[in-house]
Amino acid sequence: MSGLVDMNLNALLAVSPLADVTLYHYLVVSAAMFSLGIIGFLTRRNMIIMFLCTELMFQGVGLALIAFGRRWMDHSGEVFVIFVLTIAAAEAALALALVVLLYRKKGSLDAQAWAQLRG
Amino acid sequence: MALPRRSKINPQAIGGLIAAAGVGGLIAILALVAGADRPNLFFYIFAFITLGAALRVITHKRPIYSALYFILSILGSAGLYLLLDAEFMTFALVIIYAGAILITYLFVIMLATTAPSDEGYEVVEEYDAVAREPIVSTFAGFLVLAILTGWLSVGVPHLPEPTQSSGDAALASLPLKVQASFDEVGLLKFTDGSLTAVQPGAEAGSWYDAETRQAQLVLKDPADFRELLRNARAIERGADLSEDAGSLSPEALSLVQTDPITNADGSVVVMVAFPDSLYARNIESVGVELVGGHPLALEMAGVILLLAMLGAVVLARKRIDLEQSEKLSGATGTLGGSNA
Repeated sequence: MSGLVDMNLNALLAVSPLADVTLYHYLVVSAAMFSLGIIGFLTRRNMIIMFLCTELMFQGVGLALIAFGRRWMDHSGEVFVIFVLTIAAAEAALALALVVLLYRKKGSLDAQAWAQLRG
Repeated sequence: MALPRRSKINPQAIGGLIAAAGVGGLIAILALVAGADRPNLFFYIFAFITLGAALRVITHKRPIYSALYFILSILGSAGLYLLLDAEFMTFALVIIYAGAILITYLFVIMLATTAPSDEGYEVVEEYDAVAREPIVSTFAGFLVLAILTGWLSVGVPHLPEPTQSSGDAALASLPLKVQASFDEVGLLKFTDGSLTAVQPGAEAGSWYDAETRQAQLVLKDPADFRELLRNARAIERGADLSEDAGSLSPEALSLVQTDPITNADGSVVVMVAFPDSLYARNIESVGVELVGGHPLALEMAGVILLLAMLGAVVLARKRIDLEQSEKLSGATGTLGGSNA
């Protein structure tokens, strides 16, 4: 690789948005993931996908926790993510068992099919 | 590509392979040229993978592809974790999330989808194809995003430079690791061999302080050690001694900060610095924080998992009862899989 190309690439990468990744960048990614999860949870009607979207929200929160832990040089963030993983696993086991149960009952994964449960 | 197959090789597959190789090669070249001092590049690559895959999760019509894209999203955020120096969580995420939880999802998706019909295998259910209230929920989602990022715009804190010793507080809980490290350098054989006491500021005995990365060793034979140290320093300065400096390695020599000091109680001690190779690794710090800092939460997590397992078993049993009662009463049409 010639020095010229090297220099140009480095000059290109030195442009301000690429120059330095801060906590802000990670939090924006995390917030975007959380919002995508919310949008998916509200719009999709398939119950499995709705639960998948809650996992997406877990992911957003986990990224924020790890980023904050890195910011303050503290490992509590990673420990919290371990607990989030635990809850996600428990939720997956229970929710998916429920989903299969409901599917056997109605033959449909549509969340609207269970609208009569509304109080 | 070389695997046996009936049909002719799909040109699209070759094109896709070439494109993937090209993108991978481009990333590799960028990494070689600019990656060493710019991990930022990888942040953008991983963030793009993560968010793009997350977008596909919520937009794809077929649930199984949604789950597969979710795995891709997990891999992307695992890369982000790696950039944040959380190595243990990176691999835990890949193993637990992508390996265990998502496989459960894939199983359930396969269990609970309509069987393919004879005429075509592309069955997309109506509830997968049509979104519910797309405008309102997208608005709500972007509102949440705006609020979250709006709060963030108050300040832009920079991430501190990572240092190897940034997790050294965990070393206070890892005396055997510290002892093994000094043993490896060869300094412990001048003592009684133990360095397990953690007493910063103590006068007597062998102790170490993880904060200042210092240790005090009580010497077994001060005269011997003094002689050895003198010889080693002379050799380091270039003197030609007929006898060698014993087994005091250059690394051990560089760690010794003071010549032996005689304490009031008669014990002779020497102050040494920690070897460079001695620092708390990510997994050790996380382990100390997890078990030492949050023992109750750890126990409760175990209880929650146990309860979830019990709940899943109860739900599964209920399904069998349901099927039997339906069969007994001769009801048709409501059982799963027959017709939606």
